[in-house]
Amino acid sequence: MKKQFNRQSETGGGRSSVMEGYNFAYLDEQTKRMIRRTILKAVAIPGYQVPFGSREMPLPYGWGTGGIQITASLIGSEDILKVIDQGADDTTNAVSIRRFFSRTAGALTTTRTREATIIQTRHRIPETHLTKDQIIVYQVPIPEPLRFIEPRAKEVCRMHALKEYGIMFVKLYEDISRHGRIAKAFDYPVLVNDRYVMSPSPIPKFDNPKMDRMPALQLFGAGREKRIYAVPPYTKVKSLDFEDYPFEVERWPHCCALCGSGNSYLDEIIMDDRGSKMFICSDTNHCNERVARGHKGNQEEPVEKAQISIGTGARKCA
Amino acid sequence: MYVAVKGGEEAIANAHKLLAEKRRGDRSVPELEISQIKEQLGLSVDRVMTEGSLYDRELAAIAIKQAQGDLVEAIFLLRAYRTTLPRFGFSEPIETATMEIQRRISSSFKDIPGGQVLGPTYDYTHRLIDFALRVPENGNPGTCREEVSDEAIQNDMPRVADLLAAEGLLDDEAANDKNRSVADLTRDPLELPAGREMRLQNLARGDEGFILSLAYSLLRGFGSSGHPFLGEIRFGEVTVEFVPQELGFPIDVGGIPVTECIMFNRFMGSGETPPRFIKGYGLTFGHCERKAMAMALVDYALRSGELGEKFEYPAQDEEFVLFHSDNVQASGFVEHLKLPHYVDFQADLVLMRNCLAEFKNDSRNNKGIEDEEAI
Amino acid sequence: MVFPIDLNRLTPGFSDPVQGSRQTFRAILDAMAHPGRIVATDNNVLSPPRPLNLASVAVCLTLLDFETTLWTDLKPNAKGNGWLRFHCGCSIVQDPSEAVFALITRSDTMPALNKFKPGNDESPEFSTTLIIQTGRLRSTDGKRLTGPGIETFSTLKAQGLTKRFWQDRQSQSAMFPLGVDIIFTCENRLAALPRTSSVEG
Repeated sequence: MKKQFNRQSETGGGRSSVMEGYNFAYLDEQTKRMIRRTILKAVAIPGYQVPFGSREMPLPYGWGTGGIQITASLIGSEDILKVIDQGADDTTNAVSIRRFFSRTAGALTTTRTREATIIQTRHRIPETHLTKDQIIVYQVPIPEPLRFIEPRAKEVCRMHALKEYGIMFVKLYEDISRHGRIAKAFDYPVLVNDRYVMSPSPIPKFDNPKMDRMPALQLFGAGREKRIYAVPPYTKVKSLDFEDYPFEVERWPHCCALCGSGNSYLDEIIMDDRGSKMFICSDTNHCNERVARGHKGNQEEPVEKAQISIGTGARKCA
Repeated sequence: MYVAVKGGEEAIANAHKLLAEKRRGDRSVPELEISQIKEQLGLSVDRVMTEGSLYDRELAAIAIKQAQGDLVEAIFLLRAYRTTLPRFGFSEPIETATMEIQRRISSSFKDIPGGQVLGPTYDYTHRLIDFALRVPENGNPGTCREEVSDEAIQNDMPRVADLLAAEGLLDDEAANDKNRSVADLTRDPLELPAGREMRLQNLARGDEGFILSLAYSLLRGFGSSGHPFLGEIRFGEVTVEFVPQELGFPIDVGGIPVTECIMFNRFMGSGETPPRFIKGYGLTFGHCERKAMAMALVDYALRSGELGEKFEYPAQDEEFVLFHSDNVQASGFVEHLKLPHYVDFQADLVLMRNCLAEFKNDSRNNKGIEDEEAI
Repeated sequence: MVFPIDLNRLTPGFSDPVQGSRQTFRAILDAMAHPGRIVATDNNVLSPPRPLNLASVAVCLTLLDFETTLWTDLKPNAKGNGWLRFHCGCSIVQDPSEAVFALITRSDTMPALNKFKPGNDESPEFSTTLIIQTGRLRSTDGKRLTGPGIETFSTLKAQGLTKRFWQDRQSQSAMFPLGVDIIFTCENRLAALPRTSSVEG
């Protein structure tokens, strides 16, 4: 009779454990409850960084511990997990995190964006449009968008509370007057739901427009800085700009050398020591799927001298 | 034809194999036993337990072996393991006044009740490499137990600070409510201003090197208003007690060695606060004297704000100290720069190429104007 | 005063606490991320004492523990309170403004929303999450919701809520980002109304 009474706080989850000696999805149940409560508040206050009792994880701080703690609080047997770093499924850290969840939660994994229910990412949003009921989990090193303008936590806390973002606009405007443009190429600040200025994590600003009214739920985890924040589906996310200096994304004059894609974010590969280069998709899954569908790039001809510019003109690709 | 070179599972597995091989070193040399680390590298074990926030000599020794003696890595291993442990509750506060003393000195008084006990210390060793240690057994002294009698050391030695406090010359924060719940740095996010308990927990877990350098900066005038005095440093075993809910009274769960340091800092009084000495407090697992002393100095410096003293130096700046003291966080973030960043770098490259092109363009135009003016 | 719990008559919590709370959390998250969406909790809890419904206890088992406080509109010695205290380990508070969570079984007599914690400017997350049991929950001809999480609009009809409740809710909108977040429950289903949603109709 006594056995069926399982008091919550005593259930470490040993039974469901995949890796012997550890909890299901590594975290103990009490920690998961704390993180889950935090996630719900984050969703209810879009763009606001909710402090949480981040735990020490078996991976180093700065290597995705925030994202991992969120994913660990979500993941279950019906989920299919995709992990990317720099857009690629096969970079070492992505492989390592994917393996962590296979071992600790017995998670099913995939490289196909469309198939995934949870996508944990570092520095990119996939090119494939995310759909409703998918969840994208961003790894965030510095969650505070105002940190490099005002390093004091107390001070920025006050600014967020009062929606006093003057210094951010001053900083951006200084950039324009000194450099003729906003000198921010990644981690470009956004305003969420017309209320909180938020760091989109160090994604290139090329990806910023994808965040606006995205049908998927976006969760952000910063383990070392102990913050979780969120953007619910279909929420307005605006990249900060000025009327006379509207927000623009990077464009390349060339196409992916492997799949010929003309609208994806490109990695630059140095081919030799004479300056010849090649450009390929950073999103490996996007690229592979295009190649599989018969798209081809022009990989025999490396680009001689890089000509990359910001502009609005579309690339003419295969 | 370009083939993307990216690390896969195999590369990681191979790296781990290489690491294991490197760790083992030359196989003709006998492998280290955990007991050897526990017994003969005891101060490493103590540091790893202190900054790892977990008292377990065996686990700390394994972590040191696994980390090839890299103590920051070993601390990380211990911390990550600690997270997964279930929590039964909180122990009663340890009572250092009834410590089983192995070492105890005060430099503030010539003699103190219970006496000065030098104990095991490097303090007066001449730092000459002892070549006799090269050969096992040769370097090992016979037991010194006959010469140094434990009997001579009395156990209940009053703390020097308590003597001073009785005179009203020391702050009495220790008289705080014992039943008050204490925040836990490992469960709650660090918010500012942090309470002293959070600061002390942070300093205890903080990197020895970082805390030491901060303490040094204070002594060199970067924040210290006067010369601090070592009230007392004591090292020995204390009893840990725990009150199980079902019993309702404390039971003895074992003894642990700790190092405790109390520094006296002169405070001339302000407003309603009378002039007196203010305590700086340091506590570590095992024997970590340098850390305990540095911690006590920084603890006092971090009290500047609440004492109404002006603070302007790094070691007095709560946010600066508390957010940068943790070596697991610090090394993780510094070393994360090893992770690929080519997407961000590409974004910056695009920006910089544009800036450079415009710069060249502008200077060419300007040069043209100057040339015209010259004509 | 702490009332004793009658262990002999206590029904069990989740049969698999790890998976039970995980599945329930995903349902709550789904609801909170899509205000107005009605989600079923795939419930393996059993028979909570009346008047608690399945979804309410699943939410409590998932989110509450010794670190959270709960206010309920039950009598202090009610079986429901004992059940929640035992299974969640939470403490039950008398004052709604001290509660991290509140469980309301009779929405017609519930306290005004401003009796609960709205959070503060620097920490808007320190606000109460209300779990309100309703007689019926459906997504036709109800209130019209718009805001984050909603593509165009959603409709939600939660039976038993008073006019005053909706007036309270209306006046909370002006306080954003402060405000309470609400989970409506009915049988094993739930829907959420976070502070971000605008309500019309």
